[in-house]
Amino acid sequence: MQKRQLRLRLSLFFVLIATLLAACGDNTATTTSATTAPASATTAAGAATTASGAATTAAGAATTAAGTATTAAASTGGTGTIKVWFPGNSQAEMDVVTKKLAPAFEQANPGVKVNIEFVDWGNISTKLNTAFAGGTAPDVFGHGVAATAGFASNDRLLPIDNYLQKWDPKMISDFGTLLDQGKYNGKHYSVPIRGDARLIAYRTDLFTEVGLDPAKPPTNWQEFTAAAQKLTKKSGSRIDRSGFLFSTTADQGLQQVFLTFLTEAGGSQMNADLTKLTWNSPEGVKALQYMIDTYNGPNAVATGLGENYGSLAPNQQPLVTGRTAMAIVDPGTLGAIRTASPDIYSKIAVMPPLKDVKQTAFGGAGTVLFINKDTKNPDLAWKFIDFMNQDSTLEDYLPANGGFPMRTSLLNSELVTTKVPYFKPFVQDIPYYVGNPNIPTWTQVRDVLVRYLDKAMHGTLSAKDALDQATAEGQAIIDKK
Amino acid sequence: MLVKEVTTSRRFTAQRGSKLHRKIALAGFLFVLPASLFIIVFNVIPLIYAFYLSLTSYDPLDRGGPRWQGLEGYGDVLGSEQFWSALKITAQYTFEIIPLAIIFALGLALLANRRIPGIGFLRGIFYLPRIVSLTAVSLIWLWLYSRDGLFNYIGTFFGGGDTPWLTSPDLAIHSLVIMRVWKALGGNMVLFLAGLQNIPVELYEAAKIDGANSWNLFRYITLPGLRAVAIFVVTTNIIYLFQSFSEIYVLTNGGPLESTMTVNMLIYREAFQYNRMGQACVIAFLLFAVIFVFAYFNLRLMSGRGGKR
Repeated sequence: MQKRQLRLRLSLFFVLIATLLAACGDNTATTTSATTAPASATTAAGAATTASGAATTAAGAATTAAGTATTAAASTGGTGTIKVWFPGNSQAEMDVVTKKLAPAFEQANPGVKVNIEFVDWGNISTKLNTAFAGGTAPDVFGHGVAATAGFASNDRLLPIDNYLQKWDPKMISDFGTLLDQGKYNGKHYSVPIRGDARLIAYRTDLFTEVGLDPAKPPTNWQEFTAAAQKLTKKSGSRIDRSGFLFSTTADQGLQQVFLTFLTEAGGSQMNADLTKLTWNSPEGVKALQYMIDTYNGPNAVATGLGENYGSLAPNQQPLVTGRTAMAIVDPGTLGAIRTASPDIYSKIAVMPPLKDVKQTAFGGAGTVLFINKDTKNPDLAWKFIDFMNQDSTLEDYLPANGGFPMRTSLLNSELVTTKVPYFKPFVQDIPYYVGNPNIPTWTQVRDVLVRYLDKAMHGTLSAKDALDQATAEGQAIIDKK
Repeated sequence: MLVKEVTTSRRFTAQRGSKLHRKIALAGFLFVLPASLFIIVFNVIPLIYAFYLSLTSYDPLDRGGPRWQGLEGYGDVLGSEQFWSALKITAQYTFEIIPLAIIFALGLALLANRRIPGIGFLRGIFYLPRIVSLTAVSLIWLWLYSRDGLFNYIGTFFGGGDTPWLTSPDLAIHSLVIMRVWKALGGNMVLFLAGLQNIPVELYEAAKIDGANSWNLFRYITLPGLRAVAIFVVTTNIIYLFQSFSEIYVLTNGGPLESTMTVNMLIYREAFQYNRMGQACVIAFLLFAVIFVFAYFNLRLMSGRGGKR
């Protein structure tokens, strides 16, 4: 009997150890991620990683055999092979890039081979970090522009100023300030291939219903507040239809909304030399208070605080269901609505950015292309980036990708006027876009802000206290670095 | 002469036996070699390396590689309020789920153990959540919990208001618990069902003859008979639930107000958002230690070694 008990205990003990080991070593990552608009609130379908997945990934990164040559021949852009990673997993985009654009590039450059790989947005950073650590990073890769400082400060990116000098100056000026969003320590590191922005979209039929002129949307905070209140439907204190909604999930979407209101109020996130955070300026407090009042208090015009409507299916978007009359949207969402509900899409319009002190909106370069500093074929890598920015390439690429063209000269192109009409307001407003500062610790600093914005939105801290604490905590991270 | 022959014969037999043993041992070794190599290469070495990383400051982008910092990282994490808060939330999440998952799974197992028409089909239905990917299931529950989702639709239909299932800091973790209990039912049920089917029928028959009622049969035969299975279920549930990530990432991403920020979410953030692999490894090893302690004491307690006998 004792032996039997001992056997049972031993078996259980070994099962426990085995399970712990297996679970800790398990990297049950579901690597599919459904992200419709990369810089928007990512829909979290993937990136499932377990505790020691972090550890094993790090280990894997360091133990990967270094230097698997990705470039067949060092050349001056004549011949050779380059490896390119695109972020995203849209089938339409993958088809266009792999079946049309890459072969076209190869055909135009005999002796050149391009190996394209798509990595979903949820995993692109992880995979790039691992690849850089193991010496297998691609020659060219796409990422959000906010990643610039992190890679550049670690000497992983090739400055592209020499190449940009060879471009037609018209092309450079065509980008406006967008090229500078990828600047770090005075050097350019990236070229945008698609734009991304957050603008306020509204239901024209609901405007008409409450006596507002859909052709004359609000232009400043006062008019906007009045319109939002008029559009809000209430039963007692309960809001049946929101006048205006924005992303209040505690993620980067909330910070992007704050950035829009902050800059509209005349503020900025950092000082000019990017050394000090300025979130807690009077403009910052005013902006955050405006956001708080949208959801809280007797004059609230929105309900569903914390709700992640960005990840809902197109047909369930509040603008489509009529749960709100106005909402902040990204071009990808608008494109998805256009496909899923064309009838409702025809009743949606996008208004220009509002103005309190300044007319601005969060936006700019969505996906940018970088060149790996260790590439053996920098000229060919640049040639590919240049190819991706040709008008004919963008005409194929952008409708599949959902991002809008970043060059103002394309405003009257067939792509914007006929093929994808919802691009128009986004391209039109390029001069008003502001992006995030390029500092190496941005992700951490931004998350600190998000945490405190979340607290203020839920009423656990006042706008002033939240921003004071966020500024102090964020500044400590910057100073430590 | 005879003695000499016997001795020689024994030596011969012993030599043959020893050779045979060696052959068997070699065969056994060869059989376990692939699996052992797999475990060593993909589990043990990374774990040792991860432990080394936990003693360093390591950003994979940094060309300098890991920088030794000894136990400093452990000090930082143990002194961080966020870690303790995440640990508390993880423990709350785990220990809210386990009793519910055990009770409901046992109830289902008792139901599935009955000889009723269509029971095979029902068993399949009960087990279904187990085989669906947790991430996929989470996405479905995201819709169920959304403002326009099924639960709020039912609530509104019966005159209730909208419930902020995932957006209220007070409610979010419990909403996650409900979803996770549902997900855990199938796996636990199958284990309990196997346990139930291993209890000798004769015990029930004898007890019935002695006048035992249904409750007595359950209390004095079924429950003690399921003890070993229950130990296994609780222990493995502790191990897996303490490492919960996917459903939280999908449904709440640690919010609102960090009310669902579990330890694994912290690890993910440190490793993949902030590139602080060393710090992430520290938290991973501290989590390992916590899980080990909980699992070990649970094992001792439930197997009777922890208390008076």
